[in-house]
Amino acid sequence: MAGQSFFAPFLNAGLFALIILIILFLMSIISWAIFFRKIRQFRRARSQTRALLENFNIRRELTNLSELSKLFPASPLVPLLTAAIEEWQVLKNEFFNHNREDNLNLLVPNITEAMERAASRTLEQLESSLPFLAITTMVAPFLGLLGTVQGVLRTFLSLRGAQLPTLQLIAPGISDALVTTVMGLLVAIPAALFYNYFVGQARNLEGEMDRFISELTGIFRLEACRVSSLENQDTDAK
Amino acid sequence: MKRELLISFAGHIGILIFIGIASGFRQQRRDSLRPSIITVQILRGHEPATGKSEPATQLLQTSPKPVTSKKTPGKPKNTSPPKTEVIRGAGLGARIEGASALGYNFYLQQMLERIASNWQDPYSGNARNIKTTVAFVIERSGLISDIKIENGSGDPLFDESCLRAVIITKKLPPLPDEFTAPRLKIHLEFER
Repeated sequence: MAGQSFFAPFLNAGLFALIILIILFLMSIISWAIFFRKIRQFRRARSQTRALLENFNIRRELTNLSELSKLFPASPLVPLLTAAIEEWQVLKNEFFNHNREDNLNLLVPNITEAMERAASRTLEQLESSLPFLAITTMVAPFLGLLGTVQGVLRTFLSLRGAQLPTLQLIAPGISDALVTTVMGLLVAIPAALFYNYFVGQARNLEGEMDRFISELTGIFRLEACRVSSLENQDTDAK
Repeated sequence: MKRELLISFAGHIGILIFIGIASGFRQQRRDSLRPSIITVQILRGHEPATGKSEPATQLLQTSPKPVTSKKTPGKPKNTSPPKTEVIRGAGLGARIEGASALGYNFYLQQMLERIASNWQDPYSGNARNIKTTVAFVIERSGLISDIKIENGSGDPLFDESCLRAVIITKKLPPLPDEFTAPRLKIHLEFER
């Protein structure tokens, strides 16, 4: 029988252990799929953020910001940028309509809040499906252990009434039972690695977003002052 | 997400197939080193393996491997002997022909202990010297079948006791993985 040495424990494992093995297998498939998806997402987010920040440092003009957001759609900073610009446009028009141009810097906290809302949404998106990895990390070893304990229990129950319970009688059953623990750990270890890696990445991007928010806030404050003073000059000239 | 799931699933299946094929190759190599069925003779008593009973160890050899079948009876052991090993347990001894048995001595030991514990010697305490060989087959699941007396002692009481010991043992643990053939034929010699 080919492959007997490797697959024999799986075939001898019993229904309960088989169900656990299937669950672990599915968990493994899903967590690797999450890994593949997230690694691409984070890589693109990182590189585009870097490029965006480089461009941002060159041209800190408010007029160019909307251009930037079209260039780097995958960067998590872009939603902040668009949210800020939208908020700015809407509120500015509102203020102009009510002839309160000199108080434009009252808008700045609103813009900051809009950016923070966008940031939390973006972060949520970045961290989506990471909870599954955390759950896998926690649950897979326990599931494996459950299968093993059940297998050992089965082995000992089958020994009931045996006259000479030797180690050789118990060993095959226990070695079959241990398969689920091995599988549980095989599933949990990569999931733990992925989870911690992605959470670290998300934290990095979060820090990046915070810095970006404060920077943009400064820019908008300046812009507000500039527009207000321009308006004041206009009214003075009149 | 669908695409990643597909990739991941394919990867898992690929790894499983790879491991299966790799262990299949390993198994095949191991199989080629080992006859498919080996015969084991179990001896009662504590005489050493090179002792007087050596010429009597005539095995019914069902193995395709010629290693043990070229053994000629009556020949002294030290001229090109097949690798013979004697294991002992619970007052019984097993003689295994062919080095291939080395991997699962523990199993035979266990079998000896089981059968010995079920054997009630009708002449215990008497100084009689008789011998019976019982042949049987252990299936992969550990079930004992085809039990018959091969070489009777001529004493029905003794023969029956030996037969009974094997019959009431009924089931042994499943054959170990090291033994790859579907069944293991045993010639068990009860001697006193």
